[in-house]
Amino acid sequence: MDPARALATRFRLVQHPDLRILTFDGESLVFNPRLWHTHFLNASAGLILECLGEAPASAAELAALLVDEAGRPALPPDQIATALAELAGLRLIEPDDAAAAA
Amino acid sequence: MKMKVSRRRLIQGALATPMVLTVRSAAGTGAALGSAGACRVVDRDRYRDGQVKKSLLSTNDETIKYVRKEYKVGEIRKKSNKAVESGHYLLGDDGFYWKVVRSGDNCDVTKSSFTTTSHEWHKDVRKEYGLRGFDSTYSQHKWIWEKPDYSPLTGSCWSSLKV
Amino acid sequence: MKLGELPVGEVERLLRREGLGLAFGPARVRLRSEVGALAPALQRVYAAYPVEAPGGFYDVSARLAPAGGLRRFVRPQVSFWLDGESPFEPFPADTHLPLVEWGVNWAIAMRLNQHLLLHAGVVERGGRAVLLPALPASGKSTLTAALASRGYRLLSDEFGVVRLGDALLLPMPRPVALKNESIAIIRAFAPGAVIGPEFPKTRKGTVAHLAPDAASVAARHTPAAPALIVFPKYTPGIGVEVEPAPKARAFAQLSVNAFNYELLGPAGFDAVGAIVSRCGCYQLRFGDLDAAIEQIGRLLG
Repeated sequence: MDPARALATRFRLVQHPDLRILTFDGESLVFNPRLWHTHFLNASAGLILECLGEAPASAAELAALLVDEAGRPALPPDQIATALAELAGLRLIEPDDAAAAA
Repeated sequence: MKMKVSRRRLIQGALATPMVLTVRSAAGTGAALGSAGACRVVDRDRYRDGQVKKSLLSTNDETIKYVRKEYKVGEIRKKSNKAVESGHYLLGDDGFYWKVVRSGDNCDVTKSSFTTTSHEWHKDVRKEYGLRGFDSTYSQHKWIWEKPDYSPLTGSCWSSLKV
Repeated sequence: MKLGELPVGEVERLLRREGLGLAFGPARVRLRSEVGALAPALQRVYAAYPVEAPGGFYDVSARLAPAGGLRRFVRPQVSFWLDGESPFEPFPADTHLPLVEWGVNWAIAMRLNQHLLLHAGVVERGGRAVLLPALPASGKSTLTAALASRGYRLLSDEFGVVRLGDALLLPMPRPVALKNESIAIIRAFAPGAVIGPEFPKTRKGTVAHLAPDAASVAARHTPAAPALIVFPKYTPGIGVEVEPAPKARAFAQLSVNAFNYELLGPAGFDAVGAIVSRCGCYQLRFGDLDAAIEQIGRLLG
């Protein structure tokens, strides 16, 4: 999925019994059972995945959620969309069909 | 689904472009020991997604990976009349019982027509130890039963036997 | 009876006939050999090991045999056989022990997949284990040998064997392979250490094997809890420098360097995660073995 399309899509975390997410000091390791790979996520990417694990969200919604200590959005939506496209390519997240269908 | 209201805060000083890396083995075994590729164990009952299965298998695999396995060998009987079948069997995960024939150093394992539908376990007789090898296709793999002169005891191959 | 207590003729007879059985902890290995020179070398580096009864299951059944044909006589070679197959090119006949050690290592790495196999040296003191992951040019084997010579129990210099489920480390105390300059370094560092014969001109240069001490061999069925991960880097000219290693990166380094991490999937992930969670993680640059050992002792607490 290209970032432009990811910008307009609401995503959710893929549910799988063998999905593993482990976080140390903000950095995350993820076992991806669909590709049988392990991924390293920096703090920003880890928080994106964490948010999607709680509820589906779009890039714009995530931008509003991820703020700095002053309460300002910390990441521009297009950067978040690039990360979402990458996570979707790894099949860790998927479009939230329920929201699309609603 | 409603979005959570709570807001996230990035760790101060860690504002950074989101980064996702895939941790790749330096072909651990390959780099350290010179062998090519690695086979991955796939539980076929759980990973029925063909695309996932294909991605798990190295196309360059010339190496069989083994797992040491202990198996119960025993007697089975018909469910209908409790008649005990002759010989000794182990249970495969394909629902079939496999007949185990030991003759001194030799051991042969062959698939019987008995299944968990028609038969049930009667009693344990012994344990057998083998090394179960998985090749790159997973559907063909071999056993090495323990035998003093180091050659494989059986060339029996069967598919869908869980580790 | 321990291997070192047998007459060498008896060791050679066992190797030629029913095989010499050794239990390394989680792996049982049976060796046969038609190469007479192997017996005294094997006896020296495995002296503390009890000889196993010939029956029972062996994870690895290996045989060393002279290569066939002209190579039996002209620049003679030996071959390593594993369950009826010969997975490697033959070696020169005078590198018999290194070939056996590498061959058995290879077989263990292929077969012991009921455990996670980290590529690391492992030692233990006071019930707390130290993992020394084997990155290139790390000096891992030299440091492991030095620690074992200073009162640490040797679990392994090659395999961190992690039991799935509880992430305890299982000992497999086999001879430590020393290469090139490390041989002289350990001879000087530990004059009482038992080191086997030197084998020059192997593919890794000159190789010799430090025998595991009797206490480590006797405790080879006693697991240890991981407490410290130290990524060593031999840096000539310095004493010792240490800094904390971020745990997520320690996870990545451990898993990348394991023999069968990818094979085990989520079970491997869980095991590495448990270890990293429980351990302090540090990068250690060292040029001085005594300083490195003292620093590791401080980190272990």
